[in-house]
Amino acid sequence: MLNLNFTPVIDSLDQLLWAATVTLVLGWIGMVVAITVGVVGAALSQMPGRFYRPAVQAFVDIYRGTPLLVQILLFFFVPAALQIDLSPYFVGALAIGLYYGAYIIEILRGAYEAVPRGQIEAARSLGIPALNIFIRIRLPQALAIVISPIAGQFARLQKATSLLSVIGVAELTLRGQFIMTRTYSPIETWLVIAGIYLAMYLVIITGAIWLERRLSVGRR
Amino acid sequence: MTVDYNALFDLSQVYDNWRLLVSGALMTISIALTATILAGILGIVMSMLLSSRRRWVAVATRGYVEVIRGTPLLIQMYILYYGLPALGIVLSGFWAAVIALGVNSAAYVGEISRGAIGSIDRAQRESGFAVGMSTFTTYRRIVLPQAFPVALPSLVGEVIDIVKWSSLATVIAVPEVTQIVYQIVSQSFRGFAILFLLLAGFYFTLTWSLSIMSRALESRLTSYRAR
Amino acid sequence: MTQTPVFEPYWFADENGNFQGMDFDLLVEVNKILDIPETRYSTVPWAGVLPALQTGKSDFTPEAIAVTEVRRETFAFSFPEGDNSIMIMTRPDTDIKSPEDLAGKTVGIETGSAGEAAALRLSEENKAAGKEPLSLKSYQHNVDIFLDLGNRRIDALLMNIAPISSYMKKHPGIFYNAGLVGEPLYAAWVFRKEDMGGPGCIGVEVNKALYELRKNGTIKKLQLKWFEREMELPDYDTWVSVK
Repeated sequence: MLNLNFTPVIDSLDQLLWAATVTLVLGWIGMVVAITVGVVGAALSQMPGRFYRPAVQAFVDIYRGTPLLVQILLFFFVPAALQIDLSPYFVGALAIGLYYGAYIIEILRGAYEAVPRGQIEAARSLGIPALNIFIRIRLPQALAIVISPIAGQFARLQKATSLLSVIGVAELTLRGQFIMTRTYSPIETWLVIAGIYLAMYLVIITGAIWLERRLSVGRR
Repeated sequence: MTVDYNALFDLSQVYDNWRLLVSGALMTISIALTATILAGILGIVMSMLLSSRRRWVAVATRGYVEVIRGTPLLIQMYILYYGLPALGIVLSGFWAAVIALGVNSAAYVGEISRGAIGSIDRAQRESGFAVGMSTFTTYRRIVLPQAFPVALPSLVGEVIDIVKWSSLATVIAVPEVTQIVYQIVSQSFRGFAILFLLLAGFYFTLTWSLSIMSRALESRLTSYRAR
Repeated sequence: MTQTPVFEPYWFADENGNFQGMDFDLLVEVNKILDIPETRYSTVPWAGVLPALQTGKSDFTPEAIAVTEVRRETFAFSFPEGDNSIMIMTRPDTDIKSPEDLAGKTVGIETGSAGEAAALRLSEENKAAGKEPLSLKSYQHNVDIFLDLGNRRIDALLMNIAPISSYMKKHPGIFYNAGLVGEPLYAAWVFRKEDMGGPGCIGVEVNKALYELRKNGTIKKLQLKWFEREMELPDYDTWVSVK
């Protein structure tokens, strides 16, 4: 029963690797957008006044409450109808970055508030300036906490770039469709592509573990 | 060319297709519901396997979980729906979507439950055994009632994810609500702003009510602490 | 230019990712006549091709698209280059021999395609005549529909004649062609309406080139190369590009 033939897929390996590069770059750009959104959002929600906090909360709730696929389609079709010319690569990286940015806002907010108040007060009573408290006490501890959840979001974001195949970004998944039109070998094609995504995932996770170990040096 | 706002917000597209839209919404709900049940069952199995005392079982399960987490849901759906027929297994689109969503979520649910159970003091379990309770009773009466409220927000988060990611079933020819909207839009190019906004609103209503229910349930379940 | 390279033999990509097909060859000839040195392509899935044209992301779509009345309300078509009628493809084990037999059957279609439009029309006609409508299943990619017909998840599919012929040629003896649905459709390139406005507009210039290519036999030569048959074309002098 089981007779798989990977030759036709392997013949297209150079195309797949090129598409994998596109996927990687999209993931990195998406992540830069997501972290920017996350930092700005988390900072805004710490601002005084009645406006910022609820506004950030509304953004987070709406983005996390609707499917990424629907957001991508909305971002793709509505500007098109308004005669705004946007490349699907741009739209795609932006949509994915905003979606995961909403998750990163929550992570950063939680981590910032997780540093015990007692430490801050102790530092203040020792006369350490506010900026130094932030750089030397708050930030390092918060960073060590956020590495692993942020890496988790990065891993999800990298996988989610596959959704951009729906709006015509020629990344790994769409390339797989095109290869299949010639080979008609769905299981072989999709298994090879799944393997490529898995390799990217393992790199992200291993990197995060390494970084986390380095940052938590000095903590027992 | 000027922008045709009437075309963007053409409500007739909604009126003319309301039956289709409702059937799509029902399909989305039934996929999400079935997948949630599957994720719950598989998740419990996963958490048990992950904390197994036989090392190779735990390691093998961990490997499996990482493979599931490391590959896109979209590709998993393609493999289940278009790939498996090559091995003689022909699943319907509905079941391929449910299995992909359920298995995917279980990989996270297993981890959540294991963490929550681990957060309950070991001594409590041992005192249960000491007064002669069976393992099952100890879990049912002591460990789970305390672990469940701990895990609840993350578990509801998983259900919300299932609802949202069920939209991917559109790529394996399941007529759920995202596919219906996409179909209406690409046949006529009319009314798409209003249709997509309605679609987002539908998902938001579902996920928002889930998170409100979860908050209410959480405060009820932990009310014993206040007493 | 936007196109979807999965419409063999009109436009497709070979194993190295290079474009091939009748449209591609024809575009090379048109570029020679119009003295256009370079063309930039962007590849989008079928559902995005016409929106991309509508918003000006592409100048025109040099991919054989079926000329339908609905599309004519929004777009302008060049002189046709070939046949793009909608055909029924099924397996020999179904009892589908003609469009009438599709009542109540599960039929695969690509989202946004002319095949989908034909299937919806047929379904409406059936309902009006008191017969069972078609049970439609929507896909994002042609190849998925072919696979599902082979997997017996659907009884038939409705698609343009070109991809069906080339798929059946590659997989002989498994599938069955149950004839055409609706009126014959021509295949033509698509422009924004204002680009067919008058002399100097890109649509008008491309049409001039196509006129010349038909007269000197190039179109016929390409039809024979890619389809191994000569396809009937309308009279270019009476063809209406803009409605």
